[in-house]
Amino acid sequence: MSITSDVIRGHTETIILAHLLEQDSYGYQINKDIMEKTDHMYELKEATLYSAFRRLEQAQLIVSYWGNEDIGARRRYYAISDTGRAAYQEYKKDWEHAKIIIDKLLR
Amino acid sequence: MNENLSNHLDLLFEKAPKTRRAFELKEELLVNSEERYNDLLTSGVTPENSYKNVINSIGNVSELFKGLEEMSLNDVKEVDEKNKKMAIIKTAAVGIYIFSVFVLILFGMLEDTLNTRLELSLIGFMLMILIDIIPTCMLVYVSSVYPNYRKHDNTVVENFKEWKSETQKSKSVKGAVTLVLWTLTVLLYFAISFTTFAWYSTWIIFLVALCAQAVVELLFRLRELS
Repeated sequence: MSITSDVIRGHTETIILAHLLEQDSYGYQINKDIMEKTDHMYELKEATLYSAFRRLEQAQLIVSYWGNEDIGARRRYYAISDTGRAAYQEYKKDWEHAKIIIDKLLR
Repeated sequence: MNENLSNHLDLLFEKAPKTRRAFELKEELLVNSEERYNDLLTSGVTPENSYKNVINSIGNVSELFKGLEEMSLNDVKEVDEKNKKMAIIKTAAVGIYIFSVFVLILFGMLEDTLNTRLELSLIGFMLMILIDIIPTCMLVYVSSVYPNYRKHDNTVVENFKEWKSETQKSKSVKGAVTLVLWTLTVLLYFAISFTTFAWYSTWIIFLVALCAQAVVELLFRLRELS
């Protein structure tokens, strides 16, 4: 678990961007999606998730807005920006590259 | 349960910087934690275990607070840049004001030395007013475009306090300046009019006073900004 989660944590921001590519979302929804997609093998800590949100927002890869829920407290939604889309493609390319190298080295 | 969670977050955020961002983050965390808790309950987990799960999933918040501070540092950098820009525009405006006065003096001297029938000092005065339009526009632009960025700790309460004290102080000073300005204008009007008997043109002094009033207004707004 420890090595896996370390490796995955290094890609938190890319994972978030990948989720936002599909649709605007909020913290818990993204985490829930991650749990479902990984069959509950992996989930992010809230703290990790939100510091990633802040970094992405600061880098202007995502933008946030407050939803207007009729009942209960409001949610903070995130949407990917055009720079975010471009950055995601870059990350993805990097990852494919790294995967090839690691596969070659760890056979 | 919601109260428990809220109290827990209050405790966690005790050491967080007291900024609007931190409050928003807490609200965001609370809403998402509540939803997770409710989901766990509906999936059949006991309330105690759900609560434990939620608290556990929050993780180490200190890394979050670090993020909040980094943001404020960046804000400061941004503010510095804006202040620099503002200073450049203000300096240029003051330079143009000084230049306009120079034009006025130059034309006055020309009239004296050339001895023409043209009213050169009047032309100089007109030119000065025309030139002064440019820096006035620049200052108006600066004061309306750049809002107050100076505060490092942007708590709502701090903002309000600062705003209130500053407006009260500058309002009373501005009132005094305005009163003195207009009293002097009226006195000057009568003094000049009675000595020169040029009643047909001395009313211009009121226009000049109006300009001065606008400049006072500007100066106060600029002081509020910097």
